[in-house]
Amino acid sequence: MATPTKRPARKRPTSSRTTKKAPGKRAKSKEQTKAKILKAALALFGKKGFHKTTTKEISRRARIAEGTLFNYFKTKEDLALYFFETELQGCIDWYYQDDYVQAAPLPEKLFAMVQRYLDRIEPYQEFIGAVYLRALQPRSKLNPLSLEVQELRIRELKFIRDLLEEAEEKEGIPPFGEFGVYALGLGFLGIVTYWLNDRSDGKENTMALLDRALTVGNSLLRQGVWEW
Amino acid sequence: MVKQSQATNKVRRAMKVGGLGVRIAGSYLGYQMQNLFLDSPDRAQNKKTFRQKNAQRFRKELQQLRGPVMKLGQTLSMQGHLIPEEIVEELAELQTHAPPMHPTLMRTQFKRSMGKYPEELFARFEMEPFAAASLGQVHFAVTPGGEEVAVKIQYPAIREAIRNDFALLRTVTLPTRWAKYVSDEMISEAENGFMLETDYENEAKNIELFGRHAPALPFLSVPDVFREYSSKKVLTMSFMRGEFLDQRLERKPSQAWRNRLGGRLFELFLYQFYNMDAIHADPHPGNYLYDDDGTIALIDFGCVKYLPDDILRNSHAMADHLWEQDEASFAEALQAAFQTRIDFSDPKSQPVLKAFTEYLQVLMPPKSQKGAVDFGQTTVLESTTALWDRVLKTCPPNPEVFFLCRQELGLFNVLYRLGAKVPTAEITERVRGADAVA
Repeated sequence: MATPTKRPARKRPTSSRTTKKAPGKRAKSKEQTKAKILKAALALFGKKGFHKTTTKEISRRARIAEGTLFNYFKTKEDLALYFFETELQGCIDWYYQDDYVQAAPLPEKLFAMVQRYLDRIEPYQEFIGAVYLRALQPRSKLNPLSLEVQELRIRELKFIRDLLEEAEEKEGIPPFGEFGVYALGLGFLGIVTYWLNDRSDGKENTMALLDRALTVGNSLLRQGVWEW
Repeated sequence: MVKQSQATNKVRRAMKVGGLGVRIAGSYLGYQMQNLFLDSPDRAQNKKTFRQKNAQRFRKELQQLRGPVMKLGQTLSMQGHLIPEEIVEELAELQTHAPPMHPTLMRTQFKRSMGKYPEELFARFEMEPFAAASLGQVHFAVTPGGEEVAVKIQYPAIREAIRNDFALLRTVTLPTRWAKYVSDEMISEAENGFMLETDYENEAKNIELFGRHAPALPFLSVPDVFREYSSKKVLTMSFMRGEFLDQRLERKPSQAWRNRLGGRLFELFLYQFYNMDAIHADPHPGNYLYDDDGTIALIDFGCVKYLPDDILRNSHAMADHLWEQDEASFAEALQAAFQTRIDFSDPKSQPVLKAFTEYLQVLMPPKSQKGAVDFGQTTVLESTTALWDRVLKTCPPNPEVFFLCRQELGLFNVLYRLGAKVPTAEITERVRGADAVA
């Protein structure tokens, strides 16, 4: 495992892949159409479910030709990938715009971000559950080993790495290395899965689990058990 | 070397928590378990009571058995008379040292219950809690009107957690030496008690009840409830000043102060017993604050027990007969109050009756008694504990009575730590002669 190299502190990394370049006019209208399609699709997924919704219905609801839809998304799976991409990016953008969360200590930062992420995806739980099931099929594009999912995952992990490196510099926590990045990424996936299955009132169980996991994890980390 | 073994222990503990698996999220215990990972420099302090080693071992045993059994530990700690007070304190530590929620979670909990974020409602709000309370944490705040308040915010999913823990507790087979102490009714009673404590509206009612009675006891300070900033999961009350018993005792107060305070605590108990149908049933020292002039502030009202009429009537009768030294009538009243299977008219039961009489006479003295009782001697506490041990092994009484006794033992323990000399008969005469205010 490579030893992590120190990077200078930064507010908003300009070269990192975790942020996007400002789009041009053409790209902007392209993004708008994609967003329009996603909105229509999510509404239908919510009503009829992921499996039962057809691309024809989506294009009709988005008021575009079915052919245009295919130009943007070849399959419903591409749409799902686009959804997760948007949510991840929304979360990253929020982080770099929110003063409180940027200044907070690492555990609080992670708590706030996960909670915000869950709040955002809350209306689409059933859709996400269906996507998880679909992801179990080896030939699906949503399969964790597919290049598309890997790409998304790497973006997420790089963002986590940025957070950790910042915490190393600012809070003096021991260096995590890549192991820490993967562990946190996995923990995040675990929380989302738990959240999907959480039947408690207001999903308070997930909040309690996250709260405790971060407290315990943080304490172990600072006591040096990590290295041990 | 030492460092190595500590690290090993930490990992071992981590494995234990891991063993609880997913259930930890649905468990109140989960909150307590975090303590195992947190540094606690003050934990070693204040453990100079005479059974501390046993107490710690007991807690450790419970911790090793994990899960529902540790919940049982809390059950036992609620039933304070069952086990020596030092053990109760060890167990209570599990409850009061829960680490705080992450600020974002705290704010979310507040908003979900109150509709707004705390900083939107209050002129000032401290994000860092200053205390852990029963099932929640307490923040300092200032209202727009300029009043200083304590805001208690409940942990998430706490009701479900309690239900889960008790459901599991009922399915396990307890080690026999504990099982004999714990009946089904007691477990249910404890569960109900815990559940009730999660309802802060109920606690607000309790505070208001004590507030109505406070004028009768000039040395007593009861907080005001701020209803507009309270709900089922948020409780806002006036901020109370003072020191906890341990802090106060560290400053080596005079014997006169100790005696005065002891007398007042005794009077507070008697007043509740005679004039209210409710008893502040949580004798944990963390629920009282003390001032230099001997003012006593009550700060936690989650566990107030409303006593049924028959229990009250029988207990009052018991006190009356002891006051008048009418032994035969006392035995009858005792039987009725405790609803035990012991037949006190049987000559074989005489030693138990004698022990009961001695114990109860500390609280309910005969009017002929002169002078002060020295609670600083360990004999009172030890004989009481021994008596309860004997009673519970042979004839568990009505669970309702437990709450009363739990408060009594809590009182004895505080008076013991104070080393107070209390003129019990004199105070009893005064309280018996006075009328209730509310």
